[in-house]
Amino acid sequence: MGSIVFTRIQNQVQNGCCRRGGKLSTRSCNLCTRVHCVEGHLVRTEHSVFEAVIDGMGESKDGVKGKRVVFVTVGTTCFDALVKVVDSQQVKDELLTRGYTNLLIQMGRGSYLPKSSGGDGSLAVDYFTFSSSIADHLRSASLVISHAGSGSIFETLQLGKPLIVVVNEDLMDNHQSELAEELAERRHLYCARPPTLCQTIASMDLKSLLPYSPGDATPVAKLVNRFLGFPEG
Amino acid sequence: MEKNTGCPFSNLSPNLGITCFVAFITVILVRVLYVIYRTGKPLNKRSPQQTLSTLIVLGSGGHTAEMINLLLVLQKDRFTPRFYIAAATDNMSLQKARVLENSWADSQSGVKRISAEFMQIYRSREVGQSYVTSVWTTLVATTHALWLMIKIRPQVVLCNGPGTCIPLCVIAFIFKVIGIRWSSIFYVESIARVKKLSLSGLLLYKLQIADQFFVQWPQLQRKYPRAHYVGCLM
Repeated sequence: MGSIVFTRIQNQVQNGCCRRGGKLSTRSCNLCTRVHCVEGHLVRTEHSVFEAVIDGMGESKDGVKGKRVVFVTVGTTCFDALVKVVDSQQVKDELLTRGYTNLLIQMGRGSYLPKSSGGDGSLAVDYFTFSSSIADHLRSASLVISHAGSGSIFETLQLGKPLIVVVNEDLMDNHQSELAEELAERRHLYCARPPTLCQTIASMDLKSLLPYSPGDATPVAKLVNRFLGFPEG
Repeated sequence: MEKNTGCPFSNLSPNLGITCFVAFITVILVRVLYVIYRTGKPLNKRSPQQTLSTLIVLGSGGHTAEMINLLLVLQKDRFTPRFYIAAATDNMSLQKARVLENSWADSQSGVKRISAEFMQIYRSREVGQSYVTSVWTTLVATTHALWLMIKIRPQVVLCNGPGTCIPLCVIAFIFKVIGIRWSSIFYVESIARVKKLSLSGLLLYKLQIADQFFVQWPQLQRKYPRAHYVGCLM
């Protein structure tokens, strides 16, 4: 059984309610649609970090069997190095070994075209340049491999998807790597570079990733209001 | 008997000129010191019904997403009218702001008209532009910023990192010195800045132009003690 620890959630769990104040049952909270394991640890629905836990509970939430998509995104940038390495036989074989069936690449402004393929038991590969919103692709992915843009990172984390962030070594002022490294240190995602991606995929343990709690802008609003002389509340 | 011939002020005017000039510079300096002293000091209490005209500076990508997150928790009827400025080459940000304002207007359905304006400003420097040509483009951008600021004269400025905010904040500071408008400048450093400040952040922090400076990671608060640590916004 997964032993994921959510300290904040656990405090509330000890009081017998989920994050939104609903009562815990062995399977689900009566307020939110989140699923709780029998020990009261918060887990999420399928295609998330805690798939293994769900599998351990012997329950499968969706009817579509077997399709596990790896979604690769480079945002609005050009990151040929990532697209190339993801399209390499090594990485594709490794993904197949880890149980993934499909590879969908959003390649942005890059010029390297992946080799589309499918069928005959190998990884099914498809790609596109841009879309107005990648939220749907993120939602239906089992694993996300993304460039280190903060927008892509947080959009993925907020959906509770396992994430490998690949830092672009060709960027001049690489402050992006700071964010990826910090979040990797806090165990919310894995961080890699194009040469080390294959190794990261081979050795990753997605069950060990910690969920990311969405941020909160109200402390800023409070301080701004107080500074401007508005009364509290 | 008079020693001087001609205009009795002829000896006086150079001295008078210099005296006036020195007095003027002194007044400006004193005023600048006063503004720096008052910057960062909370304003006097005001009634909750008061409104403050607000300038919101948008930047590409993650900047706008973070700013929108902040706007969602600010009282819309307090921070109004709202003026959004984005760089001329940034197409997405103003669109996102428009969508946000429209959704607010929809939810109020006819009670209040939309009190938001959307403007574009020339960029000081494009990504990768040479620093030599940047001098000229920064001057153009600053002139444009001056024109916009004179029109808006905001009481509150919200910005979170893009270079577009620097000319605007500097002009807001100058307005404080001259006495055109006292605007409170709030700067939220981007969530992507964990260990080092961005160039915009560094300028606004060191020059003490921002009234309140927010950082999202504790490492930055330790390095820059006058900053407020507010945790992650995203």
